[in-house]
Amino acid sequence: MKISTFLIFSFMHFLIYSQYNSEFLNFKKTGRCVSVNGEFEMGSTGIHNALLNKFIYGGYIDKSMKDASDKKMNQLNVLGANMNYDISVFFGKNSRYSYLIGFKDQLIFNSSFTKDFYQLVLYGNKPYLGETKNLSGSSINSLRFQELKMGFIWHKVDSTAKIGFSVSVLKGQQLFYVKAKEGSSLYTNSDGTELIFSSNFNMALSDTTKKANFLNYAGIGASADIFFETPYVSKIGKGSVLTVNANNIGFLHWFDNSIQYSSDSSFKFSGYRINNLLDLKDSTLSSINRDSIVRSLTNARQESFNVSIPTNLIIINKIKFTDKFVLGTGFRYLFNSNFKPYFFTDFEYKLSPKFTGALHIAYGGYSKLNLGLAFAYSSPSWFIKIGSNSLQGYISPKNTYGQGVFLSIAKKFKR
Amino acid sequence: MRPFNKLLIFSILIISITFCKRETSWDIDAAFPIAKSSLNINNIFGDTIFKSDASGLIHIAYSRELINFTIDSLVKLPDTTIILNYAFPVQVPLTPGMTLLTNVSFPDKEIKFNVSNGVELNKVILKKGFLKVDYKNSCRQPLKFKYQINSATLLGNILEINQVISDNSSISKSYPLDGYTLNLTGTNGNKINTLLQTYTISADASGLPDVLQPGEGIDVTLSYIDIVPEYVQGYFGQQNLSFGPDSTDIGGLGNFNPTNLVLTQSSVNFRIVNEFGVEMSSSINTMASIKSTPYNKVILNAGNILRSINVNRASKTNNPTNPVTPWKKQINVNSTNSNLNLFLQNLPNYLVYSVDAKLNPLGNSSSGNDFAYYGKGLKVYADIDIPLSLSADYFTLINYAQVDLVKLNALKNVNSCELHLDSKNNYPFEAHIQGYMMNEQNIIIDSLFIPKQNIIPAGITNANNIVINPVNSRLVSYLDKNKVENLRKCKQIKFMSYLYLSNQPTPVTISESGYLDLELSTFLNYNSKIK
Repeated sequence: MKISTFLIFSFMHFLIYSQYNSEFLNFKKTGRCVSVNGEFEMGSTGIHNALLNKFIYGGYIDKSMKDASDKKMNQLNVLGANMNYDISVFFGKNSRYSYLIGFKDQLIFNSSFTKDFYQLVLYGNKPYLGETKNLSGSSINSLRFQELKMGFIWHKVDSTAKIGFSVSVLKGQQLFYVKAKEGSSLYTNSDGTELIFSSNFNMALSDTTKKANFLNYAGIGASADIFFETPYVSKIGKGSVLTVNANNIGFLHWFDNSIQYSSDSSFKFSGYRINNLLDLKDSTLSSINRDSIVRSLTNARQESFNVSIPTNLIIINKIKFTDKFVLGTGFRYLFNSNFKPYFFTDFEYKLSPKFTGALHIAYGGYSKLNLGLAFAYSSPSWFIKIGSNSLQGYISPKNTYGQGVFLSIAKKFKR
Repeated sequence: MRPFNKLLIFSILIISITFCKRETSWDIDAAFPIAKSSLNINNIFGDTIFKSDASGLIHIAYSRELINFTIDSLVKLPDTTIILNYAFPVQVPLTPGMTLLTNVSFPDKEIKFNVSNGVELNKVILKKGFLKVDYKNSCRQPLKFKYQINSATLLGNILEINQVISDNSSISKSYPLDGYTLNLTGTNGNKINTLLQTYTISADASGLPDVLQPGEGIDVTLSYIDIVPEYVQGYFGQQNLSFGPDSTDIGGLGNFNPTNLVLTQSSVNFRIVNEFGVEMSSSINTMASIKSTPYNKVILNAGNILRSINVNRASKTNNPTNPVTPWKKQINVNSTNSNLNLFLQNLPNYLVYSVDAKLNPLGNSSSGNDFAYYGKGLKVYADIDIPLSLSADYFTLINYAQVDLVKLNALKNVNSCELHLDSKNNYPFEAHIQGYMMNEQNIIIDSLFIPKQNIIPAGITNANNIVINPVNSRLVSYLDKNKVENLRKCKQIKFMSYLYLSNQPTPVTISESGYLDLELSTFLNYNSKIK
């Protein structure tokens, strides 16, 4: 028992975790510390990285780039992105547990879109005269919020297991949600003189009167993170560790100025009717206003409402085969989003006493196949981790889906 | 380099990438409708002068007021001033309250208004006006001035003024006369234009006993000013009235602006409405149609139809809200009894006229009961009717659309644009249309259509030039980036259209069932941008 405990303890020292939006996962390597962490991931099952990069870094999207994704995408696809960065402090003097306090900014974007929706947005409706473009199932959910986190980690449960728990107060910055349900479509007649928009959608927006900057305070909420990690003896390898982490378990309450729209109608537009040639005045043109059109076409109501934030669940099992090699397998899922079940395996190799490298292979999530690399440096004072779960997006962006990077820098406190 | 410095440089790099992100853009091809309209002749020419008859034939039918003589044309009540001077010639002992002077037995009880043109009034009800009184007391004690207009009553009360003038002082006051009825028949009821007044000057009770010195006294000036009658009654005399030459703006015919117009028939109904209680004999001596640009004048020749017109008097209803039953007469001038077609083909902006009238040609037949009310008068209307069975080379149609697209930023992102104007024409004219973009200085900076590619064909007509089938067509205007930018910058668009009539000079008939359906749509190449 003592041997196995020793092995497990020594094995756990070179575990490195990929990007999973949790402060607790690095604790074993950093101990009490102040850390800065940033993660970015973006992926799609239908849009190549080269095109996604244009939305990230800017630039012109040419026809060949549009065509490349168009040819390969399915009738229904997903697109998603998570970006978060935080500053966290683990502190305390008790040998059994430490406290956590941190601030985190999160952007969670996920979307489903039909191939027809993609074509309308990227090509316009003129190439599809006389056709009905299906929008059913297309959705966008974009959520930006900041959190003030307080918690603790009990790091000597049963001498080796760890339990972490934190609660956060959330400040909602911006919400944009729209979902086109069954029957949503856009028809353009053969000569472009008539549009028929069959709308069956729900939409929710946070206060549109405020600028969507970092200081915008459009909602309030609460969330909790739970972390559990335990070593166990397995039949294969020299030892195993099971980690379960769930974070972003919570909701946001958007204030009274938030707007909800719903529509279940068919709108036929064949031009603004002019009853007199002298009627063509600027008032006619100024009336073509996005907000007024949306309000007139939909059942718009201004009210407060609650939304759940996508909960992030991670289950990881790591098996140590040698002193230098650890194999991790895991599962990740984002509830309340379009994230597909994400299965992954990490091949970790200890390159030197301070450096560890890991190869990440996964399938699912917002994209398809993912290949990643991560490197960690750990000294008595510093812990630095940099990597990507979707390196393919930077190697061959024209042919691959998904990309991401993550970085953690921790200054360890003296023990 | 220390780890912290490395971290700082890395952070700056990340922030730079994040916040210096370039714009993302891509081009789309969009197709959507912009506007549609089903135009009839009223919509096309932007006026309501077009009406259809029972057979469906469109007429230009409108009415204009040519002449409106009001009460002041008949009777002018002059401003009248009366001066009362009273100075004591010798020393007079003065006791407070004692009467110094009264005109009860004086001849100046009656005031005669000098009403011109032999008008003899016996009753006037005033709509508004003032009695302005200037007082000057040169005595050393306050004096009291009491003034009554015995023949001016309001709700049974005569008009009375009581004014105390302080010693050695002057004051000026105005008293409204609104609503007063003036009996102008004098003391014995047998005079005309004559008002009855009494006044009394006395020492005011608030003064002290004193002795008035020679030369001391009071000056009072009474002025009847700004008199506007609500009603006048009497004998208005045998006045010879002459009006004009004067002109009436008839406002043109909207946008109805044909070239070489030839009418097949037309008529003008002159309606005479007399709301005065007086008879007249009248002649419309001159009636001319004036087209201002380019100037052209056509005189109406209708023989004696518009001469020696006997106009009878209106009668009273005894209903205060509508006190007059007017006398009416209609005189029809048409293309068979006059040169009216030529007169109207001139497409006048103005009608010039001169009118003579003689009041009471038979003398005082009403025994002093001629009357006139404020707001009533002698009016002459011209009801013009032109059936749209006509020939012309073409109509010119000019419309201005005020636009301000500078704020429409989406236009900046339009790379190129095709405007499609689909039409279905059921009129017997071919439309050549053009839109000129004009800047703030009203200078044309660009146009929408290419000449010869801007023609909407006419409906198919039969031998009688009646449309038997509409014709569908599409005009395409290609706007490049430069044209789109000009469209964004322009302040108004001058739409200039020429409507060429079919098979001229055979007259065309424009009927109620005519229409021109237009649908404006666009194909545009648009540069979508997000940051």
